[in-house]
Amino acid sequence: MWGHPMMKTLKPIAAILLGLSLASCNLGSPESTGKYDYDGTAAQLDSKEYSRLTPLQQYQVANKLSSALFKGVPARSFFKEGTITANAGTLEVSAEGQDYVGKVRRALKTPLDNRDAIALKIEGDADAQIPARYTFDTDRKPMQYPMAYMFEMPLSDEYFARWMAYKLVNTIMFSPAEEIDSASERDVQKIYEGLVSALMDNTPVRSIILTHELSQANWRRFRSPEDNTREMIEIYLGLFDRDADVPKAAIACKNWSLTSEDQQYELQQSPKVNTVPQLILDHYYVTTCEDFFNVVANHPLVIPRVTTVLIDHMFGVDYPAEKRTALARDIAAAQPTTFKEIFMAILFSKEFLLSMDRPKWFEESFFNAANRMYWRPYSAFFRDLNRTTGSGNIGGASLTLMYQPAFSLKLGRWPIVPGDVLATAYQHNGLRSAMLTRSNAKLASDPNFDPEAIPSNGWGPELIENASTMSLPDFISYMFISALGRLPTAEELSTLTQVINTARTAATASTVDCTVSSAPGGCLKYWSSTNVVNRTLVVMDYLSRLPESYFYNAVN
Amino acid sequence: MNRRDLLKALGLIGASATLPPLFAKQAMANVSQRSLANARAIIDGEINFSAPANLPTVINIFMYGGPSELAGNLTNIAQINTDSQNKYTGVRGDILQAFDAVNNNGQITSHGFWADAGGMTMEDLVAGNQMSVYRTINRVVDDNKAHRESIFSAQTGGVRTMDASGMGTVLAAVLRVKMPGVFDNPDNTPILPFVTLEGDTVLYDLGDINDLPLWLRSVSLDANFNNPYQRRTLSALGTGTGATKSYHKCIIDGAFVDCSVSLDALAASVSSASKFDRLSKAMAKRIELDDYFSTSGGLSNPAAKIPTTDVDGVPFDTNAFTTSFGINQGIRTFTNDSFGSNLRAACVLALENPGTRFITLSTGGLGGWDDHDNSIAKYEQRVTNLMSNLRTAVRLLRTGTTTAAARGDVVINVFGEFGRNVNLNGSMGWDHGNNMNLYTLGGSGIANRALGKVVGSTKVIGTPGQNRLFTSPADGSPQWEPFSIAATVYRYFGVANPEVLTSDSLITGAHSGFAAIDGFAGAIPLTA
Repeated sequence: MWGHPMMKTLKPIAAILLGLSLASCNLGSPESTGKYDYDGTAAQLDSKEYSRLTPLQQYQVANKLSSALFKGVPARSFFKEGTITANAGTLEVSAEGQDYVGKVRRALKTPLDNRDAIALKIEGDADAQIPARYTFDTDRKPMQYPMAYMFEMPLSDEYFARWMAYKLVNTIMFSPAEEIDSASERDVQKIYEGLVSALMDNTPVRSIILTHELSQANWRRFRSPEDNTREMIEIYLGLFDRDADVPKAAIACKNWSLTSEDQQYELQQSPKVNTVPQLILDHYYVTTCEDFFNVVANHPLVIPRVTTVLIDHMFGVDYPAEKRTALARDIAAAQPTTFKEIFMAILFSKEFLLSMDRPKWFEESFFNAANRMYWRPYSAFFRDLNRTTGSGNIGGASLTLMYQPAFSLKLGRWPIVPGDVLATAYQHNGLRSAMLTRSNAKLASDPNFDPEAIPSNGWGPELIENASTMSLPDFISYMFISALGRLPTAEELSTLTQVINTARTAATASTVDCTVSSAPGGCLKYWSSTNVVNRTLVVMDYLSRLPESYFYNAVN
Repeated sequence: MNRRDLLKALGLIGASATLPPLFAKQAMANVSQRSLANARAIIDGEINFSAPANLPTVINIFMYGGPSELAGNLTNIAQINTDSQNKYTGVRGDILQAFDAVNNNGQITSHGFWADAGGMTMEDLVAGNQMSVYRTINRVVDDNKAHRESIFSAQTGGVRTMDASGMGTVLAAVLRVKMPGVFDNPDNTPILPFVTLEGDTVLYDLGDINDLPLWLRSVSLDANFNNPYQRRTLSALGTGTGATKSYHKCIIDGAFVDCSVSLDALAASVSSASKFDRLSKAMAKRIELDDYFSTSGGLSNPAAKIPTTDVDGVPFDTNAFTTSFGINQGIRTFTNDSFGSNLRAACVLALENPGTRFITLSTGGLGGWDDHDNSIAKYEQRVTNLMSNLRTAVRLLRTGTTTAAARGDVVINVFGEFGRNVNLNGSMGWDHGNNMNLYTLGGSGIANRALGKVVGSTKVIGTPGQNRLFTSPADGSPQWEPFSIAATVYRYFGVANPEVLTSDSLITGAHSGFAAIDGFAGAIPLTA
């Protein structure tokens, strides 16, 4: 599971640094001024420019942004009621949809006010006889809980911190490497929650890196002085050809070691501290391991490298290298100091929101669709999603089987979504079986229906609440906009209409040939074309087969 | 000729040769006839190809993490122990002694293998002409010790450049161009020609050969040949699964069709944009594989294909492999872990579906090879398990399954991204190094295949007591770059001059590329 090499990420850091020296630096935080003062490729999509997009484009941008944040915007709430038809010209953005990008930007800075209620909902309270909404594996709970928590949490400052931490632990920079024998689920929890706290506090990137370098969890991933120092140079500075520096850095760390498995892999430091200064990275003398870690954390390459790693993950390494390099250069030129600034710069850049296209990580496709389809998870969903085996409730899939396990890989997820046939088949089955081709519409007719209390699976009744009076073309168009953010092509409209109107099946035995009009036993028309649930299932079934459902399109 | 240019030429020719005329015309719209002619000339002039009478199958086993060479090479252990920061004898007291079968002690076998680290099994395999060990796979032109970079170069057979093509992809492209009657269309090409049992792998990276057609692209299988490609929910448009599925019928444009099939066709037709290429092809291949696995002609549970005994009458069972020695050599069948299961699947696939040409798997399940700490005991057990599984694999290939005949043209190559230092560091492990072993097994029926050999000798380099203590090829010893492993694979399939596929002026300078390792006439070892 070590996956791909990272050669495609070896973009010229030197070029970025050169660019930094040439670029006009806009000092100061765009957060503090409220202005988006990134230049060039990093130029931000502001509210004015966003509002000039067509309503459909605005919806596409809104869901691209939401999807990246593992959220989604239902079409029904984004557009005014009655304006979603087969004609894009009738679309009108609702008050809720207005300035959506600006609203998200503000939401990510808004304090969360119901943290305790969310935790209570997830975990329950035995004393108060409040049942837990979700179940987790005992051992793997630290790997399963974060996504459940994010699913229940609205966009807020804490949500953003948790989302950033989740992204970071799935990169090479902070992966807890749960897959290796010296790391454990406890390390997952320590690294993840440590990052959340630091991100909430706006701790500088360099401080976060230094803290991590010094941690036992880091040494459980890279377990000897030579291994650890090599990886720190590679991971945080992007220097892959500094082999000669490694023995010298390892001398500085010679008194640091990890105990054996029998002694629970504890980080220990002996009194045999090095006393001979070692010259590393051409300019720096280090004597102790702390010296070395400080040199790495404070090195000029840190911000360009960190920015590059995050851009690679957000854009994928199939996105043109020159654009990724330019974006890294232009973001670094603004001298960000926190992960929040870097993530915000990437997320709200025009390059990301308007131009980026790539396959989606499963979290991005699934949870975006979940919010757009009014899906409700069953109680063990987040447990099953993050198991090493597949679950029948998720189409036999799991993140592991899709080759995108969370928290696990020693070198983090390779920054390109696995696209081999097997991984694709699992993603297809996951999205299809856990959501698109399952209906919870019956919940609407249940007098005891409580969408908050009833864990279920499949799209929710709200999706089709106002759809029964729509014409078939309007209905199909509504489903396409809801799920994909586009109208159906003429070919799609024609074929889906015919499928909905003509599907037939054997009345008695499944072996009857329904292509013959006089088939023995006869054939029944399978669908009532006015049955909205049936219509929806057909369209959803089709949408699950479209590569587009697993893909970010460029908006422009 | 720059390797990358040659691979691009392979892509050009392949596109023109394999696409239907209409699409070929579109695809070639931006390619001038002169470019095409040049590409043909390049390939004809550069690649000297002669297809073997029977195409072999290669099972590529990659030891991610960088395996220590010591299991297969204790020849320098006395000096290593003297110079090491921590003494091996403090952990393994008899490691400096020759193996003594009478008293059952000592670790150095007759060929210098590590007895308790699979060494006795290695001796058996070498003595039985089932394996050769090449001890001097050593990076000279690109001694990088970073994992990903080294994995990349080892699995592409090329230097660390962006967009390089994996070994399996290069092989597929060569076969497509040089054996057009077999590999240039889906009707002739055997099903599952290129398989991975480790998911996405660099070995199948497309790189510059990005036009490789669907039927030659790798397919992921699981160890039990389950059908993960099947849609789990058909209720909207049909019932049942697999062979029992029954689709509802629809009338589309006046014709009765399966509703489900019509939707798949519609999805494919509206997803032709190049940005969807990878996903679209994966979706299409999923349908094909679902059909294949759902029919009686598909593969079935590989565990059920293992015969009771091998060709020599030795059972395939979980009893220990008994020899005159008391050393643990593992069980007589595949181990019950993901590595044992994947290797069993690979062997059964090679036997049951002889059209499969290249199969990749990792040693996942045995544990990783990145032995930075507390390594010796875990390493001994890991190599023991590795070797016992390899012995079982060779026995199965020589025996055949319950329904398929034995094959003598299946090669198993086992290697990693780099070797390790031999200094036992402060954490009692080994840090990233260079020199490593190639274990190559099976395929005795392949012409010029050299088995039963232990090739290459090493010397110790480094300052006593310091971490950078490592082995290097001894003066006069043959040695090979990791790129030569790829060259060897190409050679098995008929490329007489595989060095043209491993040369790259960017880093090899005037060198003309890296030749095959195996005992082929004309193979020229690279000397430092």
